[in-house]
Parts: sequence; C-alpha cells; structure tokens
Amino acid sequence: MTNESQAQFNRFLENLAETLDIAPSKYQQAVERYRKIGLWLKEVNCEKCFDEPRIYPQGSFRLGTVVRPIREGKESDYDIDIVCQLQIGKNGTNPKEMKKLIGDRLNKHGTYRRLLKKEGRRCWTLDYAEEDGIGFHIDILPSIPENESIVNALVESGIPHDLALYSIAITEKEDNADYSWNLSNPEGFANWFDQIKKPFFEQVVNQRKKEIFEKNLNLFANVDEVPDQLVKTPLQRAIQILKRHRDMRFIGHKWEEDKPISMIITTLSARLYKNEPDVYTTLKNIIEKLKAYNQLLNPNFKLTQGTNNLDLIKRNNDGTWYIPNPVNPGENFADRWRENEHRKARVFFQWIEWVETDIVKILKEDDLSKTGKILEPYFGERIINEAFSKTLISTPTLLIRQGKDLDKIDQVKPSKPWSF
Amino acid sequence: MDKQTVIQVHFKDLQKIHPDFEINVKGKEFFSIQGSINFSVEYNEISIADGFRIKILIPENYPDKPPSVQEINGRIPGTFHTNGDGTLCLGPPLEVGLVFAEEPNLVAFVTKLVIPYLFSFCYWEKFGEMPFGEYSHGGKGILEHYKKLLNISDEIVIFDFLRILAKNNYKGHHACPCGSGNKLRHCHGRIIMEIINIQNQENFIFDIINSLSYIKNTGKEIPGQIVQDKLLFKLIKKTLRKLNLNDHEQLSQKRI
Repeated sequence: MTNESQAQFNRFLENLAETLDIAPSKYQQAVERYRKIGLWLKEVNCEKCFDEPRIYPQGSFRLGTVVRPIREGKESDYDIDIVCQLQIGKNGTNPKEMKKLIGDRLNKHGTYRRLLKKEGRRCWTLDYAEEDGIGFHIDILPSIPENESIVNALVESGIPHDLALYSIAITEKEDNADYSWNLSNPEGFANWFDQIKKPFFEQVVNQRKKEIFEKNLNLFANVDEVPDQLVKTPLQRAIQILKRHRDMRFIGHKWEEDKPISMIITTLSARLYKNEPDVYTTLKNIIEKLKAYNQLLNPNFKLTQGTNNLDLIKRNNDGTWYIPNPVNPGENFADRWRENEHRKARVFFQWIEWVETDIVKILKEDDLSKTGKILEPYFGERIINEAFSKTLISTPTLLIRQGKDLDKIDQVKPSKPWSF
Repeated sequence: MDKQTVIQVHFKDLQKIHPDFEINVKGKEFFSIQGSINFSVEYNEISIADGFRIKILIPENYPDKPPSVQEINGRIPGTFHTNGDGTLCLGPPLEVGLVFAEEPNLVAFVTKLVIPYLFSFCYWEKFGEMPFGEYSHGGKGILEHYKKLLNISDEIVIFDFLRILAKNNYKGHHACPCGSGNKLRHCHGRIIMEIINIQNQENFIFDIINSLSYIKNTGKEIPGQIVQDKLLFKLIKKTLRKLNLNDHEQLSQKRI
C-alpha cells in the first residue's frame, strides 16, 4: 500500500460520499420547500401561543450527513426532518391538542392537504414527488419548549447549559391512541455535533464555500449564501459511508430489522472523531476503537486498556446496554439491545467487522478499479461508477506556490500540452 | 451576478495573489488582464522557480468558456506549444474546457492550467524534455486525448463516440459503443454528457475532421462506419463551407 494509492483511495471515498449526498441544487430545493411550510405554519390557530412558531431543520439534513435512502432495494426519496416548535408552555396545552393544531393548519392548505400522509407516532409527513423523479418526505415534528425544571435537571446531570436549553417536548401517539410528552433535543444534538467538527470545518469553510458557489452560480447570489451544511468534514463523509454500507449490507438479511440505527452510528462516530484530516483515517480509527468494545458481548467481560477511559457503550450488570444521547442522558439509543439474547448488540458488532473487511482492509488492493468492483455490492453500481469516474486516474502531481500566497501549496494534476 | 461583476470578482481574487495584474477594458464587452506570474513548482523532487509576464484574454462567454493566454516578453518560441494567434496551447481544447469547468475562475485557471504549462516550458528549457509528456500534434493528439478521456484504446470505437458527439445524437437507451453490452446511460453516458456541455457541436465536427485528416495522412483507411454515415458527411461539408474552407489544413487554426 503506497502513499499514492492511499491518497487515491481517499479521494475515491470522498467522491463516494459526495455521490451518496444530496446535491446542492436538491438541498436548496428542500430548503425552499420547508421555508414555505414554515411561512404557512406561522398562521397556526394558536391563541395561547406568545409568538410565531419556530421552524428549523433537524436530523441528517441539519447535520450534513444525508444519504439517499434505500427502500425495497432501490434508491428512494430523501427524508427531510424539520421541527415546528409552538411557543407555548407545557401547562398551556396537551400533546394531542398541540399536534392537532399543526395538523389542522396543514390541512387548510390546498397542496399540503393532498401531500399529507396519515398521522404518524410523532410527526406529520408531507410526500413530495418532484419533477426530476427524486422526491422528498418532509417529516414535521410538532413540539414546544421543554419545562425549565427539566432543563435544570439536565444541567445538573452534566449537560452544558448552552446545549440543554434547546430541549423540547415532543408528542408520542401510543398504539391505544393516547398521547404523551417526550423529551427531545435535536437542536442541542446538532450544536454538540457542530462543536466536534468545528476545528476542521473552520480550516476549510472559506475555500469550500467559494468552490461550491462557483460551481453553482445559478443557486446562490453570493458566497455567504452557501449553507454550512454543504461544507463537509471527514467526520460527516465517514458517517455517510457507514450509513450507506449499513443500508446495503442488510438488504434482505435475516437481521435487517436489527440493523444499527443512524443515531448510534452518528453519535459514536462523532465521539470518536479527533480531527483526522481524511475520510479513510477517520473510518479506520472509528472502526478500530469500536471493535474493541465487542468484548462486552462476553458476559464475563473486562474492558482492556484503551477502551475503559471512554465509556462509549456500556453494559450494565443487569445485562442492559447503554448508549446515551449526548444531550439527554435519559435517552438510551441502545434500549432494545438486550432483547432476543442481545441480538441488536451482536448485529452491531458483526456490522463493525463487516465494515472493517469491506472498507478498511480493502486498501491492500492497489488497483482502484478492482477496489471499485469489490465495493459495488455495498454501495450500489451507480454510486461506485460515478465515484470512480470522479476520481482521477493516477496522473503526476505538481506542488505549486505562487505570487504573494507562498504559504499555500496547491496540488495540481497537470494537462499535457498539445498543438497542431 | 452579471458577467462584468463575475469578471471583476475573479480579477480581484487573482490580484490578491499576483498584485501587479491590471485589467484592460475595451469597449463594453471585451476584457484582457495583464501582469506577472511568479511561481515555484515542485515535481518529482525537482523544484523550479520562475516568473513570466502574461496577458489573459477573457472570451465573450466567460465563465462558460475558459480564457486564452499569451506570454508577452517573447520568451516562449512559436515552436513550443503555441497557437497560430500567439496564444499558448495549454492542452487539447476539450481538456482545457473540462479542467476550467471544475472551477471556472481566474485563480484556478492560472493555478491549474497556466502555471503547469509555464512549468513544463521551464523544464523543457532546462532539461530538453517535457516533464509529463505531451500530446502528439494535430488530429493524432486529439484522438489520444479521447482515448484517455473515454479509457478506450480502439480508434474505431473512438470514432463511434465522435459520431454521436458530432451529430449531437446522444440517446441514453442506445447500446454503448464501447461494447460493454450496457446502455449508454449506464456506461460512458456520464462522461459524454459532461463533454457535451464543454464544447459545441461544431467543435466536435472539427475534432472528427482533424482526426480523419491524421488517419488519411498516415495512409490508413477511413473507418467504414464514417464513410457510410451520410448525415455526418453533410455536417462536415456544411461546416467547411460555412468557414469558406475547402480543405481541412486551413481549418486547423480555427476553433469556435
């Protein structure tokens, strides 16, 4: 494995994640859709609300880790999650009424009434079919600000105040049609995630935004309009690759129902990210560290050095598993890992080994086109071909310094001169 | 942003790196930019630092099309890779277009296209050889570039692709000429779509004419599928007539 082929594989992984990602034009289309929904929801019929609702993105759309979903083995519509937060205290409403206010307002709009799907457990969903054949499912999460006492309790349990204060109460519709409140904090989670990626992000943001702006002159009026979410760090790229690998690897598998959830992948990856400068090293380090935790599957486990100072995944004495939401320790992402003789836990560690074999160890292969063939079942033929053609076939590299900018070094693949 | 503003913005970015650059306005539409480029380039453990005075000519359809560039002090002889009008031949026009389209601005143009060219000239001056090779002259070089671009070595197959491009006749559901057995859209379709955005139909016709003239000069036979393609022949004739040329030799310096 030469440095050149590692560099090339890295570019390939980078291109792979970019191909999985939502294109800037599609991203802007989604933003436009949700802004319009936001404008409509401003007029929600809520007399007791003391201000207009706040509408903001959450989940992968907010984190910049969107991956085109796979449904029934095929690439499908994008999932876009937004929060609609009514400005009303918990004591001023109840979950059923609050959710209905938002549903009623959506039903008053001619288009939204048509797009609106049956009420979900937590969300209202609008199904957009777009002209280019790539649609959106926009999930609108009704919510209100969480009570001060709960925020204070979170702070006491060790969550920084500037994250805890974004806590919201969301509604949950039970199978028996009863409604209840649940604590959630998507905005706090996103801010926590942003803090982790910040050092790398700040190094590249100006240059990357400029490039994105110049490639999409019809989308943005100026560089400042390019949203942060379109500038990617190796952490986000690694998460996108892990999510797609998971989606493809479990298609039709007997464990499909038990595959790792995106929140676990995102949380653990973010906690393990140490500003690695490239996607490959990021993935390699994440997988190496997570692999060490598979000792937990053994009931007589003792964590060895290197894992005991990071309690990413815990197994309690009663056999339950614990992967906390970093902004809400009461929420356990691994709450169902003990069921069926720890099936979800075993599936998780099996998947980590698959990632290691399928992506990390594959680097022994020097020929990128062979690597592409090996990766095809885990990412899809279209994605691999596109990423492959984006990755320049190995050509000489020049290191260029110029003019006043002597500290900056550009790496350029030169063209060969030609003339008549 | 309108074109004038785009040029101003790109020019200012270039000036930040190369401060003595000046912009010349001719009338309303035409711009050229002039100044010194100082650089140092490292390649395979050889480092060369040098400086050139250049003039960058901004085309009417900038930034959809790349600029062209002249060296002002007469250091680069006409026998090195230059065009008839004295502009530097940075690479096959299609390749220059593709590279420029990745980042269509002046700084990237200078960094990715002009400096590598000037570096290969300095290297050639010093060591008498081209550091990373060169395309053959004329039609032969054009064919070499298509071979690299499509990753195909068979000239007959290259001509099949050129026929699609010259007739502007891309159909995603047709079988890919490369013989993979896949439909174009699942095979070489992606690169074809990219190329179509870079240069217009007429330039693809030029590429065919120049490639054919190379084939003829080497005494090889014109591929059968070209001879039998009546529509293509009509297009070639029309193009030559439009430029008032009878002969492809005269054509070689003209590009649109």
